[in-house]
Amino acid sequence: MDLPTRKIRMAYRMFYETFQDIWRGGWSNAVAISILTSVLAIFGFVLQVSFGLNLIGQKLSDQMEFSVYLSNDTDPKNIAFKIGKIPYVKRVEVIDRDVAWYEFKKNFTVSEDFQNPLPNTVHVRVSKPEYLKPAIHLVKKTEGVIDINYAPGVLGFINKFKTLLQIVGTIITLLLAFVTIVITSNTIQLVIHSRQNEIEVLRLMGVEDWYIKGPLILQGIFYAVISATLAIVPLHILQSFLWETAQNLIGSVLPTGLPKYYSENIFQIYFILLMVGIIVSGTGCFWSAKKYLKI
Amino acid sequence: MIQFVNVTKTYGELKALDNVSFEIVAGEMVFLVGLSGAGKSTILRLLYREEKPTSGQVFVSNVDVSRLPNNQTPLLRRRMGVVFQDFKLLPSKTCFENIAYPLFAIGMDHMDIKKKVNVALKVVGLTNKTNDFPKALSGGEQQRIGIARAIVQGPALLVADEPTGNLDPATSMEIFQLLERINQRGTTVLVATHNQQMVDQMRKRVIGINQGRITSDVKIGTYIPQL
Repeated sequence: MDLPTRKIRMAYRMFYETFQDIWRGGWSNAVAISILTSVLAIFGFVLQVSFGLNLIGQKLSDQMEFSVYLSNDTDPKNIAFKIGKIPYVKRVEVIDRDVAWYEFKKNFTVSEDFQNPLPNTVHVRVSKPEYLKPAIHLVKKTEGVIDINYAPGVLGFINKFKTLLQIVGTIITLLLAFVTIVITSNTIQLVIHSRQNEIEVLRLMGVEDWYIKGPLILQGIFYAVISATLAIVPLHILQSFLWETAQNLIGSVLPTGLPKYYSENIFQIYFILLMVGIIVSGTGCFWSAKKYLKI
Repeated sequence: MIQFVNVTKTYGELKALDNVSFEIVAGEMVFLVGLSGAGKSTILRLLYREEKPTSGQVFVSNVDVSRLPNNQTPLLRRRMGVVFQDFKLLPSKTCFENIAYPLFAIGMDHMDIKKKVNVALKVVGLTNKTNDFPKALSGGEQQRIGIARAIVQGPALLVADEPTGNLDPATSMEIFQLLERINQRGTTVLVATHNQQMVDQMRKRVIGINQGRITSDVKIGTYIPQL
């Protein structure tokens, strides 16, 4: 029997043993997976909130935009041109009222004979946050401007505590990460402990240590992959709800609302949960099995 | 085949074996007898390297197992069959899988595994139990599967630690007779037991041990209770 063939056969059998043990493990698998899923879901939720807070914090510190509402009898491009000449103004963007109304009707149900109440709008961006108030002061004097949207009061309040929120968010995330590692590690240790008799038998039969540890580590990784995948489902559903809530609470005071929190972020969180789960489960299985292998 | 040379084993203050020396040649069937706690299991554990001697040397097939590197221990155990009092079968695997497991683990071809397992099952008389799980078997049948697993690789040495400790007298006799048949095929067999009746009936070499010391070594012996 040549060595490469034998090695391939042993590797294949190791994977086969893993899935046979999982299949025959029955409901004990469900217990381990449900515990890991719960822990990873909670950690994932905190990660989501933390990422979101960071994003909001970044948006707040970058608060260099305000919206200018124009009367309907003015030419928005002409007003935008005038505003663009004001010192400190870096960029202007015209939002036609018809375009805004079209976008609005995509998200809300509106009766067909309801008249468009939205004004023509100009989004203005200054070059530095400290230029915001002077620019607003100058724009207010421009003919055709009926209102300006920015929220100095609320933003000022939130801005003060932005750093504190980020620190608290980071501490909570780290604490939860620690708790996640401890609970995952303990769950895996219990799984290995329940199989200590089996490990002892295999050891006494003369089975090599890596062939004993291999299926256990693979089983831990399997639990981690399934648990992370299950945990991300409620997080994905929550994501939209949370962001809409944040948009209603905070985004409304920002001229352009909160930035879109795209689906890529959920893949980022899934990847983190997967890596944490795999590393902790795999390492936990390795060290627990080593204990019972009495090396 | 087996040599113990001035072997002492202590656990803290307790001396489990005290300067034990004996030799077993290839092809012998030997009973190691004594009361519970005499040191029988300690001798077997030293043989399959579950323990290391505090002093002295243990040789199996001229290899000093007391100085064997840890990574060589699995190989030693595969060359030696071990039978346990509590059978030590894997509950989630069928009888076939229990017997074949050591062969799976070394990457043997499946057809070769099947042949060897069938031979082992035939020796122990359980060819009809291939796909059964251990919980479906009686105590005697489970022990016979344990013996089949121990002999599947054709080891030169078979050690049995109280193989009938959990079995009734009739089943115990079957097990001892099975071990005798295995010995007659050329395998050296060492059995640790305190089953006096069986030892007396088998009329084999008997090494007596008491409080960690060899007290007797008789070629065709009987069980002599140690007070």
